[in-house]
Amino acid sequence: MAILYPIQYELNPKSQERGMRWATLSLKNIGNEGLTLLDVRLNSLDAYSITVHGTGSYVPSLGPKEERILPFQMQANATGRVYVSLDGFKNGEPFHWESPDMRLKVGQELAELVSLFALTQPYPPAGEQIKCEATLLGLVSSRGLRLEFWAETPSADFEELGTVETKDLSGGEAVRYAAEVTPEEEGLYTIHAYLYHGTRRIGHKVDKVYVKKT
Amino acid sequence: MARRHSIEYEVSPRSVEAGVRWLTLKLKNLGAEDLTMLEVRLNSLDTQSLNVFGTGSYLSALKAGEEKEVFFQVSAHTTGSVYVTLDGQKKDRPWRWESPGISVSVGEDVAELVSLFALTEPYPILGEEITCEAIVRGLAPSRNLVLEFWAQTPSGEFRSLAKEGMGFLGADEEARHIFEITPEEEGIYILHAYLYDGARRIGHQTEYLSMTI
Repeated sequence: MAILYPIQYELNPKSQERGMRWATLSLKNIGNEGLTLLDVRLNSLDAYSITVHGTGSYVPSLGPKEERILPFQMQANATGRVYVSLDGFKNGEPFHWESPDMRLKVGQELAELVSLFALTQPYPPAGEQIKCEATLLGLVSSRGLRLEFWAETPSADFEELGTVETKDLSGGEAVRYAAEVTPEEEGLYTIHAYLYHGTRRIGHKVDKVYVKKT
Repeated sequence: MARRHSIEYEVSPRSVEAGVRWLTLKLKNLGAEDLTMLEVRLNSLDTQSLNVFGTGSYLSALKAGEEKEVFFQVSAHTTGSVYVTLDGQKKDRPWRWESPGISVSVGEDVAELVSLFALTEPYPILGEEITCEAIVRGLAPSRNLVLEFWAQTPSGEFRSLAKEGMGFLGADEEARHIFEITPEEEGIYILHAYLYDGARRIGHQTEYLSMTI
């Protein structure tokens, strides 16, 4: 079980088939003080991939060394990330705790979009071309996946940077693809990479770049 | 209204009070083809901040040039982002569309965690100290904000890097906070900055680092 003081926690299973599924969250209070009136939630960082049903669980008290196992029902559509939050009281004072996010694998995808990085110095100047590089990892043999690059500008335009049909990939093979953007506005650009198998989105990554005026 | 490919879209209001609220999604088909059997969803990018109730809406058709409104009930806790997905058919073939993230402001927080950046070249090398910078913008005068920095290592460890009280921050004032990390493992590090107002988390930003030998 992972530890983030004063909670020891574990979510199981870490891999699910698609569909309506159950996961169990084990929580243990490893601190010296009791926790009370706990609102326990499993939060999704992309509700399209994983939707956790219900509004959470309630634990009236979790004393020192005490452990609870809580079930959560979810609609699992694609691999995603979730995290746990606890809101309650410790020694009569409001208490908030949250775990780091945890990857929950759903189904067997053909490939994984591992990362997206804008290859630039911090705070690049407007007018300078920036290369954005996505890394894919084949999980089984695949062909003809579609990788799209997009940029959200500070003025909220959403511009397509490029679309690539990926080469044939074998399991374990890593490959990099890139697109370019030349920001013209000062402010925050959000770069997106989307990986599709047919019409199914199997990966999405973002990177952010703050562009300064020259 | 914003546009991506053949769909014009708008979520309103973009600012709500905390609690259970309604959001309206306007969709317009700008394409030349009718869209049919559409599952319309509003998806939260952090369900602790914004939780959208229900399993989505169904539109039997959105004809070329047609505009429709769809309503979603949300539990709004803190400022967050949502995005729209449409899954259906165009010319009897599967068709899918999604919007970028759309920010929805919740309540009146005293500050905003604007950004977190690692000030490094792409693909930094192991063992090199990396400076990271978070920017916090005051929205109202405050004195009790706390900023925490954490790192998730490739081996799954979650390590505290720094915790700082922010002191007084005025409205419209910007504060830059710096911390350092020296990655020792190959792989992807996820850096987190959390902004707290008492026990309430009012901001969270992440930054990714890919470490190579």
